Order: sequence, then C-alpha cells, then structure tokens
Amino acid sequence: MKIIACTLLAAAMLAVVASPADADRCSDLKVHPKVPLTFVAFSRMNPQTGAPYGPNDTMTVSGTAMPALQALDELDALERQLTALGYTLRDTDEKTLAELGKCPELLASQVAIVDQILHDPASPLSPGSIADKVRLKLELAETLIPNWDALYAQIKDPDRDVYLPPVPTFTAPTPRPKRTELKPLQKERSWAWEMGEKNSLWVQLLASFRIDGSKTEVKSAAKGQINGSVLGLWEGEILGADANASAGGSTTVAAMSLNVRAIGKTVFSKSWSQKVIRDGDDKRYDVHPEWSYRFSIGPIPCKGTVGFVGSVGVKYSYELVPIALNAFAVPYAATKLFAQVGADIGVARAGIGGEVTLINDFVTLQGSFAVSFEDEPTLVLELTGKNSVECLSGRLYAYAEIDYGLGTWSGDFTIFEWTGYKKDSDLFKFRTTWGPNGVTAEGDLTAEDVMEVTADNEERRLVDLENASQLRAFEVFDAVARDLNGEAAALVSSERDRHTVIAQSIDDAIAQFRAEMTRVTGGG
Amino acid sequence: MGRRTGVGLCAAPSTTRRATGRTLRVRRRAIIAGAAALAVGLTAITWVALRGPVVARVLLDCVPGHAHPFAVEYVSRGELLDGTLGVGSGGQPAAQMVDITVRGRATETCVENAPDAQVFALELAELGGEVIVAPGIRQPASELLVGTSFVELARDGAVRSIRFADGMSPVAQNIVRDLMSHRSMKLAPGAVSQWRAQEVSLDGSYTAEYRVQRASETGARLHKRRIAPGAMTGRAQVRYVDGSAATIAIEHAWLDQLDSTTEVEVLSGKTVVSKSRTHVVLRGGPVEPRNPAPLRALLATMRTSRATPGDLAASDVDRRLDDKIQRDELGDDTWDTLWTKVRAADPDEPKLFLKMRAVFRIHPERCKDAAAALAGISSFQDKSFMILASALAATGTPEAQAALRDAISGSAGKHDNQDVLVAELGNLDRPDRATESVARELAAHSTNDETRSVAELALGNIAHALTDSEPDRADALVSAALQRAQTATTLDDRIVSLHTLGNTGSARSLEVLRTAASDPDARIRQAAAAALRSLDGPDVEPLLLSLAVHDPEPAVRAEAASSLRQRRVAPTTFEALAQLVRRDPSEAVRQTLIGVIAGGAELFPEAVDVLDWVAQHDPKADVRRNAQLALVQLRNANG
Repeated sequence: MKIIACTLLAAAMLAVVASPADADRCSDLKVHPKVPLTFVAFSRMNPQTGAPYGPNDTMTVSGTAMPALQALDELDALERQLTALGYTLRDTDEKTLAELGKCPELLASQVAIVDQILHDPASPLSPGSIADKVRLKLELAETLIPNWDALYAQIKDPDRDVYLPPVPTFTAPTPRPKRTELKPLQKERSWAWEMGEKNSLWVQLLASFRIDGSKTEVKSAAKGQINGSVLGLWEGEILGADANASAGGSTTVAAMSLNVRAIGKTVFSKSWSQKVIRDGDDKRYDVHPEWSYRFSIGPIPCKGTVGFVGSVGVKYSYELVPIALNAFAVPYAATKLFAQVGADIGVARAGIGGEVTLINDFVTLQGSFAVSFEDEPTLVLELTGKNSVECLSGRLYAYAEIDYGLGTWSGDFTIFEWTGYKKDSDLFKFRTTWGPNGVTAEGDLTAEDVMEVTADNEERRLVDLENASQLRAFEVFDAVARDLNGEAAALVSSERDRHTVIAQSIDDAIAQFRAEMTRVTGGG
Repeated sequence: MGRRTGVGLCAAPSTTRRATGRTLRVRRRAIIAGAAALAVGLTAITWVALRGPVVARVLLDCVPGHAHPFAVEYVSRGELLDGTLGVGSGGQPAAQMVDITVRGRATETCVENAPDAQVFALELAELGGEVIVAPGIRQPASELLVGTSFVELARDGAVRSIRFADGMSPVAQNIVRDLMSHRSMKLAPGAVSQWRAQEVSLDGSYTAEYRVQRASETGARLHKRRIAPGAMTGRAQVRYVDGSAATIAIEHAWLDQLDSTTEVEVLSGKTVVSKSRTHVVLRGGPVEPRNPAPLRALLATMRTSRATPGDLAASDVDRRLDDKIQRDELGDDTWDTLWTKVRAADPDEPKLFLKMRAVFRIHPERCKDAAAALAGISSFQDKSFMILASALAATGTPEAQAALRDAISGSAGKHDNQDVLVAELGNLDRPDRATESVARELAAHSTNDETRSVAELALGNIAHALTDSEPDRADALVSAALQRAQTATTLDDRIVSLHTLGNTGSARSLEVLRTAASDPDARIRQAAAAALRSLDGPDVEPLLLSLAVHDPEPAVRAEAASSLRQRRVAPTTFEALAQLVRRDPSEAVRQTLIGVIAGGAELFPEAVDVLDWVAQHDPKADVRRNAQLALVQLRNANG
C-alpha cells in the first residue's frame, strides 16, 4: 500500500514536469530521460486473498477508499509514462527526474551593467550627480524654512487658520432598571390525623396537595389515604387515592392520572393525555373486608367475625389548560363496623347488635394555579383543604339467649360504645400571588411561607434601591453632560485643543527641520 | 433434682458465726454432717452423670379385642373475661362461663390395628358431675356423654379423627374432643430421651416438648410440656400459662396413666379475653378381653353415614358454627322482609349486609332475586345497590357468583353500576371459572374504556385470590397480565397493566415492575412503586427503598414509602428511612415515612428516638404533630 501511495505522489509530480523534453530558459526545468524500459502492468490479484480483485473490491490509498481496479489502472498509466523516460515505480531508490536550469552567463552580464552605470558621469549614481542634488536641497532649506521670530509672529496672527478636532458631545449613560426574576412556585400542604388505639379500633387520615408552577408549566399531586386497624386483627389501608396532573413544559399536551385503591387493591386507574382536560366524576367502590377467628371457652369452640362494610372512592373535577390548573379531589370513605359471634352450644343463640361507624370521612382538596400576562406575568396559586370526619361512633353489643327447657336465659353486653368524634374542619387555606407588584400570601402561612415572602420583599427592596441609585446617577451624569455640552465648556475645550495643536505643530516643524538639516548635512 | 439437693446441703454449714467452744463443737459436727451429705450428693450426681438421660423407644400398639378401662376425671372451667373481645375499656360482665366436671369410667377397646393407624372405641360410663354452660343452666354429665365414639390414632399416638357417638350433642362432642386432645401424644420414631413435636388442639397448633422420665422393659413415663402456640391463621392469640404439662405413663404399648393440665389464655391485643383451665386424669386398670365384632359393625355403619368425623382442631365445627351464626343472624327475616328494609330511606347497612348474606347462604335460590334487583337499581350510589352487591360478593357461593354475573350483564347500559359490580369480582375469595371468563371478556371486549380497566384490575385480584387454591389458574392469569404489560403502548394501558400485576401479587411481575421503576415517565414509576406493595421477595424492598430515597419526583417517593409501610422492613432499610424522614424536602413523603417508622417500632426500638426527633425538629407543624401522634400510639401500645 505504501508503494501505491508513493507512486501516486510521483504521478502528481510527473504530470507537472513531463511535457517539455529540455529547458530553454534559466527558469525552466531540466528533465533527465534515460533509456526507455519495457512496461509491465501491475498484478490484479488481491495479495490478502490471493483471488483477483472484483469490481466491488476496494483498496485504501492514502487514507481514501477507492475501487481497487480503478487504482491499479491509474498505477499502470503512470508506470507506462515512467518506463518511457527510463524509470519504473518498481525501483524504490530516489531518482531525479528533473531540476531547475542554471544561468551563469546571465549573472555575468548583470555585473557588466553595474560597472557601466558607476563609471558614466551622466548617470544618476555618479558622485557629481549626487553632490548637485545635496546642494539643491540646502538652498531650498534656506529659502523655505522660516526663522524663529518669523515663526512666532506667524503663530500670533489671529487670522491664521487652525484645524482643531470637533468639540465632543457628552451624554449620561442610560440607566437600565433591574427587575426581580419570577421564580417557580412550589407549594405543598399535608395533613395527618388519627384516633383510637391499634389494639381495638384505630383510624388514620393522611392528605397532601402539592402544586409546582412556573411561567411555562404546572404540576399538581393530590393524595388521600385512610388507614385503619380492627381489633389488632388487621391493620392496613382502607382507601388510597391519588391524582396527578401536569400542563405546559416541554409538551403542549396536558396529562392527568387518577388511581383508587380499596383495602390495598387497585380498583380504578385512568390516565388522560390531551391538549385540554376537563373531566369530573365520582368513582365509588364497595368494601367489605372481614376477619374471623376461633377461640374456645373451656372445651367449647367459639367463632368471632369482625369486619366493616361500606364504600370508598374519590370525587374529582379537573380542568387543565396550558399553564392553568383547577383541581378538586375528594377522597372519601364511609364504612361501618360489623361483628358476629357464635358458640358451639346447641341451645344458645348469640349475635351482635347495634351500629358503629368506623369512619365516614370526606377530604376535600382543592387547588388552582394560573399565569396571567398583562404587562408582566403574574402567578396565582391557591390550595384549600377541608375535612369532614365522623368516626368510632355508636354502640355495638353482643347478646346471647340460652333456652334451657324451663325458660330462657338472655343477656347482652356492650362491645363498644362511644359518642365518637365528629368534626368539620379547615385543614389548610392558602393563596399566594407572585407578580410585578410583589408577592402576597394569605391564609394559613407556615414559617417557610413567611420567610419566602420576606426574602422576596427584601430582594425587591434591594432591586428598587439599586434602580433608584441608577436613576440618581443618571440625573447627575446628565447634568454634567449638559454643562459639558454648553458654549463656555466648548470654548475651553476648543482653546485647549487649539493650543495643543499649535504646540504640537511647532514641535513637529522643528523636529522636521532638524531632521532635514541632519539629512542634508550628513550629520556633520 | 438430685444435683440441686446436693448443692443445698453444701450451703447449710456456713450459717453460724459464733466463736465459742460449744459452737466449735457444733460446727465440727456440722462440718462432719455436711461432708457426709456432700459425699452422698456427689455420689448421686456422679450416678446421674454416668447413667445419663433416660432413653426409651415408646410406641402404642393396640390389640383388637383388648379393652383398656380407665378411671376418668375431667374438670374444665372456662370464662370469657372480657365480653367486649378487647374492644371496650373492660368492666363488662362476662357473657359466657363454662364449668364442666366429669368423673367416672372410660373404656378404650381396640377395634382395628392397621399399618398406618389404629382405631379404638371410647365409651364413658358410671358418670358423675355436671356440665354448666351458662349461669344456672346445669346438665348431668351422664345425660350428655352417651354412646360409643371411635378414635383413630396415628402410629405416633396422635389422635387423627373422632367419630362421635350417634346423637351426641355438640357440647358432649367438644368434651370428648378435649379429653382426647389431652390424651393425644406424638411419640418419637426411635429411641430418644427427649424430643419436640407439633401438635394441635382446640386452641390451635402448639409445640410440645417431651422428656422420658423413666423407662422399663414394659413401659415408660413421659413428661409433656406445651411450650408455645404456633401461628395459625384465623385463630386468636393464645398463651399457655406455666403449668400446662402432662405426665404420661405407657405400659405394654398402651396408655396407662395420664395427668394433664392446660391453662390457656386467649388474647385480643394485650387484653386477656378468655381463660380456661382443664385438668384430666386417666388411671388405667387391667386389660379386659372383649369381642370387637359389634364395635366394628358400628364403626362400619358410621363410616358409611354422611357424618363428618371430628378432629382435635374442631375443623368440623366450623361449618356448624358458620351455619349457626348465619341462622342466628337471619332470625325471622326473609328475602322479602329484608328487601323492604333495604329499600327503606335510611337502611342499617352493616346489619342488612349481614342479614342479606345470611339469606344468600341459607337460601341460595334467593341470589337470583338479588341479581334482578341489582339490575333494576338505577344508580350505584343507592345504598341498596351497595348492600346487595357486597352481600353477594361476601357470600361468594357459586349461586352468588352467578347472580353477580347476571347483574353485570343486566346493567349493560349503566357503566358506572357495571364497573362497581365488576370490581366486586375481584373481592371474591374463590372466583369460579365462569366468573373469571366474564372478567376476561369485559377486559378484552367492553366498549367502555373504564370498564375494560376495572375488569383488568379485577383479573389481577382474581389471580391473587386463586394463588393458593388453584395455582394453575392463577399462573395463567399472571401470564396474561405480563403479556398485556409488555405489549401496552398508551400511557393509560401501561399504568393499568402495572397496577394489575401489582394486584396479582405474583413474584413473576418483579422484572416488569423493576423496568417500569426506572421509566423516564414519573407516572409509570409511581404505578410501579404502588404495584410493588403486594409483592414478596428479597428484591422488592431494595427496589422500593431506592425509589423512596433517590427518585426525583416527590409523588413517586411518597408512593414507594407508602408501599414500604405494608412490609416488615430490614434493619438497613429502616436505617435509611430513619435518615430520609429527617431530610426529604417533601412533607407528604415525610408524613408517609412516619407511618413506616412507627410500624417498625416493634422490631427497632430506635424508632421512638427517630419519631421524637421529627416531633421536635421537623420544619412543618403538621409533620411534627403526626410524629407526636405516632409516639402516643406507640406509648399506649407499650402500656
């Protein structure tokens, strides 16, 4: 492959030099032909495979892939030219095919011309001619260069024309007022509440709502969870509901997903992806888990069953348009406890009566986010949470009747009795506005909210201060500029320039005169 | 015992310290006596040590026609201490008290001796004592414990089954069952000195420890101690009080003497709900010959009858108890009276749910009426709809499932109603093939997107319900769910398929869920985190922990934390979550983590410190309050 690369290089040279057989002029190349050699074509066999090159085979020459047969054809053409001159590509020794011609006779003629010029009295380079030129220059200097007195008088002439630079116009730098950046808003509220004891009856409510919004996108996540425990036999999730929504950002499509779990099982799941989402519904599912257990009293096997029955679900209403969200989600559960008991005594009848509300709970989570563009973008975010709960209320009692032939023994006892807990409450209520006029936050503010608003107000105060300083500086600089642009300031400026120019001109003239003198006198 | 005595004698001389001459003489005597006692003690210890533990190979082997008479004494007293079953604050009157005394004669006559089992007839006679099952209600034992029962023993001596005497009352059956539970034993197959065995009684399974006390050429004396009850699904927590032990003497390959006491407490949480103490003594007499033919004939008759044999765990009682509970629940009500009550303005939902279920159990033909009624109800928000649908699903019988299917097809135009009924298919304990087909059909071909999703999710729950009872059907459903998860293209389909896999609870879902957990779309990751909650296996927890700690999306972290709450986490996971609850920027995540930390408090005492830190230092008041509530709950639980 190296041979081929060298060959192609040589070919390029040969293409330039090979046309004339000899040199006529000094600038021409001389070619050194030898006895022509017999042309022998290069082999078409692939040395790597031992098979002939096919039409589709390629070889890489100087880093460039080309059809192998084409490369070999070009190689043969070059070899044919070289063999005609008595050279061959197969000879790897360095050879001189051509060189520039040498012209000593031409150089000798140039020496003769120089001698002739130097010895001719009429020639401009003869000593006489040069002396005449110096004399002429001295005479010119004596007539043209004024003496100092004349020069001073000339300077004092008020009518003398002086070329001065134009008087500059001064302007104050234009102030650029700064603005506080509209930062992304990120607000989250959560709430947790529980009642009862896990060994008997226990309920726990967890709710959270989060909105992340900016000028270009909004995301929200609402979550509600109701956990419970029944007699230590079971502890788990009664309801799990979550709704996530997003709009804006890198995609113009709004998206939303809603999932509902009942007693740990997913019973509903739906996702939306469209430009605008407006949807609402009530997804409600029945639950009736129960736990049975056996125990004995003496040798008598007994069986108890405890459970709850009711519905869980979520009501929702969502409106999602680009960079605006209105969300309303109400995870809820309405469940009542039940129990059954039985003893393996044929003459006895036992049962459970009464009604106990395990939990009736409606968590209302409402949130909105909007961006309005009047002059400047304004972000408005609102989060509201309410809860209506009633739990562990009512009476549950067991009764037993035993028929013993002569009569009936009956008794009942209370399993559970409590007035329960019932309350409608506001969990959180929060609204914040971020706009060009500042930040406002109202409602249930956390320390973090207050710090956020305070920090933003401080930042705005600093920016306002900076803008006011810039304005004051502008006023000062503007006044200075106006003074500088007045007639008196212009006269001062022009006079100063004139004196400067004149002084510089005199300095230049003197320097020029002295230089000229030096040149004429040869430094003597 | 001998060792303890020896030590006690050695310690005796050091009690006197007076330095008088008399005292010295006394001390000399005492020293001599002590030295003698020490010598005797050391000799005894050496004898015991050289002799080693008593080893015996004990077996029971009855000879047909041999009757083993016993003097029997059975005393059992049980009391329901907390009538509220642990729910109330105590102080309620006891609802049930059982006091039984039986004294008399019992005869065990060997009837069959097969290679794998032996059967003896049990007859009680000359009985005294009485049975009190409620205040003031007494019945002589002799009137209850009548007839001949047959007891089948395994070769190791454990009672396998009891065929109770014809006409024997449930109370009498339970007395016999309890008597046999004390008589039951599980002998070791070889020659050993002590062993442990798993046995079962009316109170569930328990571990028994046996020790050979004495052995001779003709028999052995064993000491049996009930150590701890085993975990048993559907049983209340049971505790054996110290002293629940038995001494068993076996002579000539049959029981000779038994003195057994059990003292059992039933707990609900930490409250003792009931307490029972039973003492059984059997003292054997000389073997008597008896013609076994009439007993064999009686046994053959019993075997051909439809009566289910009983066992020590009283499994046979379950059906009877269930049936009794349902009949008690239904009382005098009928479908018609209940339907009227259900349609009333403000129905008593739990009571009517239970009564409806009782109707469907006792009168299965009424399920059709419920199907028709469901199809006729206009809105699923109607309380009657919930009562009927829930009662049918809770009944779960083939008739109830057929009614649910009919109601689904009858609600074809009402998608919301249909969806609620389809979701109920996922609540069935034993969904049959026809029910599965309906769910499959709806998941594949329903014209309503939501119905398709609800049916697919229900199929996941059906697979989970079938995992133990019909693993092949469950496996086929999991395969179908995996295929759907792998071919789903739209976001909605992908999320539904992941939740379906979660509902199956199958470990085969793990790889698909693992891939989904690293999906760029946070909604897919959240669905994976939710679905992983139902899966078991060592790889699930690290995956959830990774999502909880590292996922950039708060909703995903909260979901993963919520799923971890359903598990008993490993120490390293707990430590990571304890750190996370202090620093996660999302308060929703921290709120969920508080539940996980509190849930782990039983295993990790440091949970209290973690919650205490959160209760004091979390920047959000709501989170601090939640941690405080969790601490209160933990302190209550710990008394």
